[in-house]
Amino acid sequence: MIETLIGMFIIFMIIGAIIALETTDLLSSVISVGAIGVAVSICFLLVGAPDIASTQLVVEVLTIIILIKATIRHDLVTIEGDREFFGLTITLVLLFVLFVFGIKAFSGLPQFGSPAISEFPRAASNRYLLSGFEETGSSNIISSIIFDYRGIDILAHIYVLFAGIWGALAIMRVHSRKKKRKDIDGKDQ
Amino acid sequence: MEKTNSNQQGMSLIVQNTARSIKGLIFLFGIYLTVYGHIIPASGFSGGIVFACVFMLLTLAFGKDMVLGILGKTTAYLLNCFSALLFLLVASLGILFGSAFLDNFIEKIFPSSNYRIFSAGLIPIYNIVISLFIGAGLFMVFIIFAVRRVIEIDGRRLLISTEFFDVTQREKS
Amino acid sequence: MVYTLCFLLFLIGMYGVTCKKNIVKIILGFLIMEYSINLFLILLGWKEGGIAPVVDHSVSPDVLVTRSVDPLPQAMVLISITIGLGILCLMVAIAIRLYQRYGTFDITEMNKLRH
Repeated sequence: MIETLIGMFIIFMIIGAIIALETTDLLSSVISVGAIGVAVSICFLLVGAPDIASTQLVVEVLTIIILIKATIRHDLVTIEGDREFFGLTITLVLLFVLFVFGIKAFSGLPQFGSPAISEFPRAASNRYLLSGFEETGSSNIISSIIFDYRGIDILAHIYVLFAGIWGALAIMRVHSRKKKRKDIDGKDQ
Repeated sequence: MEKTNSNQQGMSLIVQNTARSIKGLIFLFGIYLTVYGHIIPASGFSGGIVFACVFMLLTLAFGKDMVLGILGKTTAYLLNCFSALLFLLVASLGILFGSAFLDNFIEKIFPSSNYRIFSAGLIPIYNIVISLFIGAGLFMVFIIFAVRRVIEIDGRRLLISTEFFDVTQREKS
Repeated sequence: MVYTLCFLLFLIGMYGVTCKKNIVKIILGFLIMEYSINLFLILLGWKEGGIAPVVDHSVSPDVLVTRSVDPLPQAMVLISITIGLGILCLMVAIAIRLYQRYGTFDITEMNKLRH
């Protein structure tokens, strides 16, 4: 039941992705990617991850607004066509080969609905679920994982995010200070 | 710049009234997600992004002057840097009072009653620190993408963010 | 079945990254790849009739072990979504800089204008 529902959502996402990549209007493609993000959020809600769903929904809004504010205003002239024909054919053939190998590889995974933690009782996730509440006092097991059991992981991730944000700030900086410049219109865009 | 130009900044009256009435509710929702992050399925990550979304809504509705009056750019990047340092500091308190780095020592010394706000030791503190970090960082990124002006450099007209690294004002002074 | 559809979504994103000219379309391809990977990791932990991994007054940890979904991929994906937003900001900043340098979003035009 839930497998067919999620399958339908993923087919919706595939259609949205094709529209986003193939349409010539940049605003339509950004909105299509927003539709994909909302569908991903609904899928997270269906498979028992409500906190991921709320985070994904809010991140989606921010993503859309950053993309629209930052890029759409520059260039509404559409750029059509792909790259040259020979390279495109090579890439499509390689993607098809990758897809065949992917089908081969995914047939070896455990069935959908029976994850690895139910087959192996000594897995790490089972220990987190069983003793995470007593050891950390946090009733949300995900909080106890990301801040207690795997704290060093989140420490490194926070500094990756720090580097990303300050890298974006440094790239947007005005480069050469000594060259001549003047305000054309003082109005902020 | 004409005087009427500052009134036209931002969006229409309907958007401004709606934003003015729901901004407190959204901010309260962010605080709820952050503070209760160890009890309900939420965390400091989603709370911080909700904080950034409040300021984003205010920027789109009222223009940048009002938002930079509430949370200035100096405050934003000091908040970002010091919350990143504060995470490291709180984590290394575990070496002093507990047994190891990132040790949840409060919970081990004083085991608290469950399902309360003041429980789970250091986890609520980490949630608050991370929400400050992410909220301030995404606010800065949004401001540099949203607030730009046209500047001529070497005969080329460029649309440049002058908000965080304002070179022109530094040359004047 | 579901995993294969996720992989198909990933390949569509990879097609966008490799075959598109417009640099905004390349960024959108990266976003689609990121969504498909996050969705795949969460779907790996789904247990039949599973509940969210939150202890409650009615759900004790013993019940949680038998009924809950896998919490470890959720913890990793929660960080991964936020990191993805930071990486997106970096990519958009680089795209704006390239537009100011060359006056276009087309990467083949950038190849011709390079000097």
